[in-house]
Amino acid sequence: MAVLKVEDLSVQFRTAQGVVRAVDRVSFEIRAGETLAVVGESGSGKSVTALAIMRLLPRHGSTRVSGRVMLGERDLVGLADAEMQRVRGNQISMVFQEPMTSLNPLMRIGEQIEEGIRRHQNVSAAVSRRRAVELLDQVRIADPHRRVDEFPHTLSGGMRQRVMIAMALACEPKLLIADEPTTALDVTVQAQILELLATLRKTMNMSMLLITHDLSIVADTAERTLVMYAGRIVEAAATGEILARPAHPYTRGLLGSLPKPRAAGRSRDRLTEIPGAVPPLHALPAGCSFAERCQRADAVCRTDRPEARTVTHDRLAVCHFAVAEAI
Amino acid sequence: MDASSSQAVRVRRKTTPWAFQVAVNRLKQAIPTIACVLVVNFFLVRLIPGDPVDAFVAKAQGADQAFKDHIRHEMGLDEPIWVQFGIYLSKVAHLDFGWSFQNSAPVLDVILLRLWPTVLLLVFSIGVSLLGGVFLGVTAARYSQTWKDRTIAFMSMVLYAMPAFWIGLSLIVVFSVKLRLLPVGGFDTVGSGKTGIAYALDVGRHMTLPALTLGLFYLAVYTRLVRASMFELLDSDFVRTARAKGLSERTVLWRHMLPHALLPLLTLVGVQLGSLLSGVIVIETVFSWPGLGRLTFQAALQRDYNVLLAILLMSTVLVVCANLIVDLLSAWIDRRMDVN
Ligand SMILES: Nc1ncnc2c1ncn2[C@@H]1O[C@H](COP(=O)(O)OP(=O)(O)OP(=O)(O)O)[C@@H](O)[C@H]1O
Ligand SMILES: [Mg+2]
Repeated sequence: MAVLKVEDLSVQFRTAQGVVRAVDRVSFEIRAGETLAVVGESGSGKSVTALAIMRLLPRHGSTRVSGRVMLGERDLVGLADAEMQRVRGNQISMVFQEPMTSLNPLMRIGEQIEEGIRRHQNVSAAVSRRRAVELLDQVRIADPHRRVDEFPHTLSGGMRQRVMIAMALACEPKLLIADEPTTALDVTVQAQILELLATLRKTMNMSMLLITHDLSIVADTAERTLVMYAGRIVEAAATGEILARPAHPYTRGLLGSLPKPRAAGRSRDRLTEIPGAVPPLHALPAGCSFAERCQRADAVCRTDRPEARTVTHDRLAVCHFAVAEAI
Repeated sequence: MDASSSQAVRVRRKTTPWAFQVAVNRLKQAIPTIACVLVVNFFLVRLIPGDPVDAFVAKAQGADQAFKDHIRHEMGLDEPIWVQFGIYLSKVAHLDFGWSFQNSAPVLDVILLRLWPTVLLLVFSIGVSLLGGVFLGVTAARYSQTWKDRTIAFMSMVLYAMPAFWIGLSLIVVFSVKLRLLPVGGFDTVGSGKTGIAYALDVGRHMTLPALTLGLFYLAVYTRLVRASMFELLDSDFVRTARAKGLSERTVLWRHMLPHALLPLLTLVGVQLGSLLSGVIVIETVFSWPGLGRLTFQAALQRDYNVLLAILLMSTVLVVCANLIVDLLSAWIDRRMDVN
């Protein structure tokens, strides 16, 4: 059963350079109790997709969202603000990429956890405080009784991300959106946080949308994976399938860019092995957005935009050659 | 510290010791300030060209030299200057600011009489402009990029650009001369015999124009500052987190964003307080408001040293006190240093 169903979601920004299609007719669903990973290079529209689901995009007239985001019977896109506030932090929560700046520096950690609880549940101050301490304990912060009264600046990045997770889980949401929750952290801390997320997801039996640009972390955490490129989903499949038999040339490129031992003399910083960069979103080419960087590209790729093709059951790829390649 | 007392501290959330610390630090800094002001004021005032005896006897026409010497002796001006200063210090320590020869009354009485109109005017105009500035700044952020925000931005820009005296004169022309709604000047209607609420309303009517003239400029300054600070925060990460919790927009604005915007505002108010006296002098003179500002102006013209010295000292003490309040408020908003 699907917890959340995204149908034809598009997001456009009007900017000085022109209209930016940051998300272009994206459709997917998140099933109960599963982790769905979204991977893609920087600028591929992962965060905008997540923020559109949460309705946290800048509210100016220059942002346009279309499509449907179905949470049960309700379409979040058209929901009234007050209704949407009851969904946020209650049924769907979000953890962000920047733990250092995502907490309010002037408020105690406990206050910040408690206000979410008190917003959605009719409980006394004593109960919400006890719950805040419990949550800190659950995200494995040592000495939670003392930590609740501290201010964020006393915590490291990893600890702050734990606090963010505690806040997000406070009302036991059905769905947790984690937008690159470990990108800003040390490698050892990254693993701990991912492990924590996976454990909590299981014990609380919620679904998770895990956004990352790092394919190496999806293998252990996500049942299914979406690959995004220039605002579109280019491949969707079970994680094992994607890792073993990528159907889209872009996915193959990403897999090739996984950090692995390199020949001496090559720069260690360069992770991407896909030459070139994402084309500017306000001036996408007529054909396939990836054609410029694709070794497989043909004349047809530059003139015709590929449609989604079913590669095998439960597997999509948006490439003119996807079917032929995968089999 | 034993367990029970540390428990008690935790229940009080540890704010008291920190507030106390702030107060002690502030007062420690204030002592040399006040000492400097005492010295500088005393000698500066004596550098003003003109002779107080001449100014005084100008009233009694054709005074002879003997009479002048007598007055000079009465005023203590025939002593060496360091003796004058020593006498001055010991008297100040006893809250004795001497005799105002121009007003024929003790300086303390003269000042206390004039203090309250000024305090009333300041508290009212600064208080209202602070509250208004915060409200308008937050409203602008709430309705950013709509006509409400644009109107607020435009109006505060216009008020900010207009000189205070010009605002004052325009207000007088419109409300007093043309519409005849409000009095041009003074503190109350002389000889009206009003008491109680009627009297308060009468004073309020007299205060409206000077308070507006003084306050509108500050309202514009505060609105612009709060609006700019709030706008900077609108797309910040922790504000997004607050929204992600499902908090209402009002809670996000007032609880999460405003405290951040109040810190620079309080700093600005603290800085401005020092220069407030000069603004008050102009306003009180224009509206014949019987406050310290006008008294300062008169005392400077009449070389009424004792009054001048006392006012300068008192305004220093007032500024120090106001800054202490500003610091305590800032410490209360930013409690990060609380935890020891
Ligand atoms: N408010 C906005 N106005 C205009 N363009 C925007 C806005 N927000 C995002 N974009 C554009 O949308 C595109 C997608 O951005 P998004 O943040 O979703 O990328 P991402 O996949 O999350 O990348 P990263 O891995 O760097 O987080 C980018 O090109 C970005 O410049
Ligand atoms: Mg992102």
